[in-house]
Amino acid sequence: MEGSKSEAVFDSMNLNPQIFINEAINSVEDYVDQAFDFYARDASKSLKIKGSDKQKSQALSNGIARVRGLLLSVIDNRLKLWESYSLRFCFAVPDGFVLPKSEESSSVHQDGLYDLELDAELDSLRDKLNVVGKRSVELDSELQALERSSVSRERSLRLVNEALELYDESSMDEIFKEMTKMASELRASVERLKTRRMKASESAKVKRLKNHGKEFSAMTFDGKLEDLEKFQAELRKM
Amino acid sequence: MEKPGHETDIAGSRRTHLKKSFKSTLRHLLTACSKQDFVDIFSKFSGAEQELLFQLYTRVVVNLHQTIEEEFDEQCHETQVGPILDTVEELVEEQSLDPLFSDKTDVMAIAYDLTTSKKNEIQKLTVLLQRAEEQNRQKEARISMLKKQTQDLSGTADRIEKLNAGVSGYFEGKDKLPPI
Repeated sequence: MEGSKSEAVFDSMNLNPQIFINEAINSVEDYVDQAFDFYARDASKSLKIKGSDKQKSQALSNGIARVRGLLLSVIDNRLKLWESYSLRFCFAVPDGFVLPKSEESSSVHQDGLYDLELDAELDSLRDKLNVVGKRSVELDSELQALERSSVSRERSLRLVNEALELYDESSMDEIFKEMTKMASELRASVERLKTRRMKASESAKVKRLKNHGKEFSAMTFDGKLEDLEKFQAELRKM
Repeated sequence: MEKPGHETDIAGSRRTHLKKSFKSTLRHLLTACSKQDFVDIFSKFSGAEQELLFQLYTRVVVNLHQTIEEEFDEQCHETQVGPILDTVEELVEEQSLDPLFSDKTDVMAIAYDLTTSKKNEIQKLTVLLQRAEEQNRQKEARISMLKKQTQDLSGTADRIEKLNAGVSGYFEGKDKLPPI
């Protein structure tokens, strides 16, 4: 992570450490090749080796190739060490390092924009919630009114339905016939009651007159008991 | 070699160390092939020829070394690696010495927390909004149903009307009155 972070830091300044190092190493190897090409030609000329002397010419080429290989072997190993050293010390940044202010300002700016978007979305949601809340209150009021009306109406409806069921169970004519019959019976009962009361009243008067002049004695007492029994019997008849 | 970025380092230590370490590496070009190795490699040649070849080799390698060093300096210049390393070095030192830097980090953390809490709030409000909207839809459905029930009373009204008609019709003829 530290390596990638370090690269990010330098990349932000248009410098890639690994590319820089690779270019330096490639350059070294290219120059070594060029140098040894020159060396081969110059050596051949200096020794005055003829084209016809192939054995000597080959020996020279082989020797130069070996020297070149030896040189590259040594320098390549050293360059690898240099690469490691450079990446580890020159091109590394410590943990917690923060990018330069310009980059940081840009980052903060982006964060600011993002927060503004979040704020706008929050405000939008709150507005919507307010609208829905008000609608909810209105609906609650309407519901309560309708439900009260519904309860009252349902009670009336139930009573009316019960009445209508009675109506359906029998026709109107039958109802009134029943009323007429009941009325007649009522009248008859009333008449019987009147008659019974008149008789009872007259009987009481007669008995009272008969007993008015008598003296009270043992025999009279027995007679009075009989009268009481008669009275009781008449009451039962009524 | 001293570690770059250390507090006691002088300014430009990274740049200096980069260049010095490279040139130290190049110096090995000059000593890569010893005289003895060279003579062994060219054993089939006469002593005079070997001496000539070695002198020529030495001149070539010295020239090579100088050329590569100059090329490296040019590469450093083109890429501005020196100034860039200086800048980074200053920032690193600045941040390591700045007593407020840790507070700065906390500020960034606070900003992050604020953003996170805003996201959480948005999520909560979204759920709350959806729930409230659903409740309103249910209330509207119930209101609609109750209104429909009101209309259903017309059937009962019809039956009551029928009853009234029957009663009125029955009493129209006076001869039908019960003899109460």
